[in-house]
Amino acid sequence: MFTSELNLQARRRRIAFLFLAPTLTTLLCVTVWPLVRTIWFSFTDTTTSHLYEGHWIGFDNYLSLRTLASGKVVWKGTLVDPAWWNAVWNTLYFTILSLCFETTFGLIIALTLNTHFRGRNLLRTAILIPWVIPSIVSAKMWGWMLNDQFGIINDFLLNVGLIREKIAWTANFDTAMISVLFVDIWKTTPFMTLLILSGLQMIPPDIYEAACLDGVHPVKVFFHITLPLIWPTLFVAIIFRVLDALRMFDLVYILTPGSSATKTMSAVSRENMIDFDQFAYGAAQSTLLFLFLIFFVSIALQISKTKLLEE
Amino acid sequence: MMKQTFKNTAFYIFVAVLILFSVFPFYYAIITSFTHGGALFQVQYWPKHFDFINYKTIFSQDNFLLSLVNSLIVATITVICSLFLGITAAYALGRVTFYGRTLLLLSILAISMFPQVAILAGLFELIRFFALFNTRWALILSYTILSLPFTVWVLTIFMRSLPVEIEEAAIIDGATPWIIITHIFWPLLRPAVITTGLLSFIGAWNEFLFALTFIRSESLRTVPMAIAFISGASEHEIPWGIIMAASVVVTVPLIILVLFFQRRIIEGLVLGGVKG
Amino acid sequence: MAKIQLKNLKKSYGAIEVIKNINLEVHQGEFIVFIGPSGSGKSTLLRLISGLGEMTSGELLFDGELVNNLPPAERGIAMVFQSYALYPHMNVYANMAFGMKLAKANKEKIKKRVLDTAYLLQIEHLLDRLPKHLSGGERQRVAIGRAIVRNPRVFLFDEPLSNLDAALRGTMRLEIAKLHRSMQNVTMIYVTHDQIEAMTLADRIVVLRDGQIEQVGTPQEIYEKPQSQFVAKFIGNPEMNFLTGSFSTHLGCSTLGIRPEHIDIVPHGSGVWSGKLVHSENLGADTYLFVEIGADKPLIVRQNNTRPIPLQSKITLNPREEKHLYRFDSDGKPVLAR
Repeated sequence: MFTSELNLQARRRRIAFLFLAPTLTTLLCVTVWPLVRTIWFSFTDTTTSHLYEGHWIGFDNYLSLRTLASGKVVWKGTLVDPAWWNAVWNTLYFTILSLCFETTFGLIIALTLNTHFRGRNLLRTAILIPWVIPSIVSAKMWGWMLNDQFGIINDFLLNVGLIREKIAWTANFDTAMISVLFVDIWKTTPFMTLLILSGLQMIPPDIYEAACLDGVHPVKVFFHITLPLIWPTLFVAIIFRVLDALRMFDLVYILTPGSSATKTMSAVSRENMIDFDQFAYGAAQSTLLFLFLIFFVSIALQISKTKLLEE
Repeated sequence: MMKQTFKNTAFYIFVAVLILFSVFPFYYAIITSFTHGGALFQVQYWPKHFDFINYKTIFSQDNFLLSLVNSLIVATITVICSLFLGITAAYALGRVTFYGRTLLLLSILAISMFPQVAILAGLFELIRFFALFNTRWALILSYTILSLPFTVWVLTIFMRSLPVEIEEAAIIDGATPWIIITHIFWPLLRPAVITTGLLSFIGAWNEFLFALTFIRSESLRTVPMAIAFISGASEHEIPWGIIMAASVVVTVPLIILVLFFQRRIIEGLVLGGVKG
Repeated sequence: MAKIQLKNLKKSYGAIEVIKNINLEVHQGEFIVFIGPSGSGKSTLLRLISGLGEMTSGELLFDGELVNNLPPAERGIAMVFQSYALYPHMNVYANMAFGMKLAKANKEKIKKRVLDTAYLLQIEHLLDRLPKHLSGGERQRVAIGRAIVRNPRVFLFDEPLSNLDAALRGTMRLEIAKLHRSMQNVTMIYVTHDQIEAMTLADRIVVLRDGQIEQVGTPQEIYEKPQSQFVAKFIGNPEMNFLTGSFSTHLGCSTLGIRPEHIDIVPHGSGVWSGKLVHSENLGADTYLFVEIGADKPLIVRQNNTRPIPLQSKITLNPREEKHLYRFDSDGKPVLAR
């Protein structure tokens, strides 16, 4: 067909295709293809130093069973690797706790910001600061403040009498995760706050006025009016946050380097892939993480669908 | 009356605590960055020292200066690439009706949910294959795909909100889609472009995992890496003063951006989140 | 400068047909008004002619040349939009010059045309202002100016006055009429839902209903000889009275129509209808009387203000002339007078 034979809409569709081509090509080549390769690698015995010498070994990186000459049966693979399950547990623990705290604090701060008071803009600007600071910098700043010998946190807690002796927050097995959670909550609550705030601001004020005239108690107003109305926003925010928390890496890597108390799925997988020369093994772990995310997203979509049907 | 005053006071104390809690770590980083030597080991709540030696140290290190340059180059080119790709794609997705448009847009959004580490292995291979390993292009490429889905999403939503009749007037005036984007929409898109550009820039400036994986040379490090790898004379002596000075230097530009473009940034976060 | 022919034009969105087989010939230099209720397809039809919309089937010819696939910019058309659609970041001069600039005309030529047009429309003093600093009327003038600069063979107007207030609408209506007179050869197609605009501006009116042409004719024809009950009801203000049942059957039709302005008050005993005055609206020059004669709705009678009639008084009414009675069958089609 000649160009001059195409009408305006057909021409526009052709141009649209041309305009989309670079973006789609980039995303296909640099995101989808690598993902496919990662999954493929997970079925090989590729090493980092010899990327092109891997062989297909099936599910061996995930789980394999070998009978030794002695007749003893040995299970191998990520799925029986305690380090992996430790990382899974750490990631889940981190995700659930950070989500709970960040949602609660986010709600409280958003409700605060949704009222009119002097200094509201100041507060809004102030809470953006933790969000914008690079994770590495926050990790270092808190690492310094949480320092066992010279950190200001220990000093402060000692002075007010909350602790008796200095605590090595990031190094201790028991407190490392608390530290990571604390810093993450500090850094990510602003994001939750702003999303929730946008949901709050979409509620028409006359609803509150009506409730006020009816003399409904503020707590009741919150649970019966505010919460249901911001639920869609909150739901999306929670999904975003969970997806982000499940792939958590940099804070852990810098704040508590090497600590098995905090190592996440991303951290373990990267470590195997890049640092330990177990490229395929790491790829298998990141594939599992990917499946994990897919699983979570499909559950979330299911929930939102049933919710929609109910309404 | 008394009760009201008490309530007000409690409220303002709460707000003050929130503000303090938000900004204190950065404040403390600034104080520390002006402290040197033994003074570091005495906890200070108020600034006592104004010693610029830490700043002199980091600015005399070529690698730190280079990392600033690297980050600036990488982040700027990333912004340009993702805006160029994003605007053209958003025009197609936002202004032209074709079959499968919504599905395509949702697929692009879904890509932003991929965990970075899941594409790490394949990307590592790709980057090695194209001999981009240990170059800035490796980062530009990977950061562009990190910010692209979000950029496309926000710009598409924004494009859809622009009036149809203005575009039709331009079509009748003989404008091609490219002219429409560059002459008619570009000025109208400015708020959305600033928003997405800023968020891409911040994302690229702060990214760590890809940088850590794709860069080996010290001279090619970005600022998060430079800070992560600052080490002292011995293994047990961490030069906190220098680290904090470097942290302040790389964070101040971002804070300035936040102060100037607060509204745009919040808008972007909300658009990316709520309409998702 | 152009004769436009629409042959079997159809447009559908999926299963929904919005334009159903339209055939129409617009003469060169004619002022055609498309009128119809919302959803009648009048704007869609205009967009098909402009090339902004895509027709499903049929042929569109400009001066005998098939333009189905010609891009809008090459059809020699200019369009004035309801929302004016001025480029918000360009000043008035740049707005008007944009099309010529894209066509790569030389600077002197552009300047001359823009200045001439600005003079014609008396907007020279606005040339370096941005659209947001203009009033609604000024914006509309600029939008028209932008269209004139294109030197089109066909002018398309898409409800150009509906965003203006009533007073301004009157002024702009006059201006558009003047413009048409001064551009003798330019064909104009004008979409509106306002019957005053249609009646005052059009050489011919095209009444559209559900994607089909209901009637084409001069304003006078449309008013005097409506080809359907729909057209009769749509044109005229206040709208035509329709009587059914015993009122119409004895005149040999299922619905009898008569315009309020064609009913006279006559002395008792000499009229066809009589009833009680239940309401009256005084509009200054005219008064609308609502007379309850036992039909579904009160009969509306338009009277020159002669003397006030007290409410509840009994009135007898008579059609002014036999030709003012419109007879329609049960399908809304006119019944020819025997």
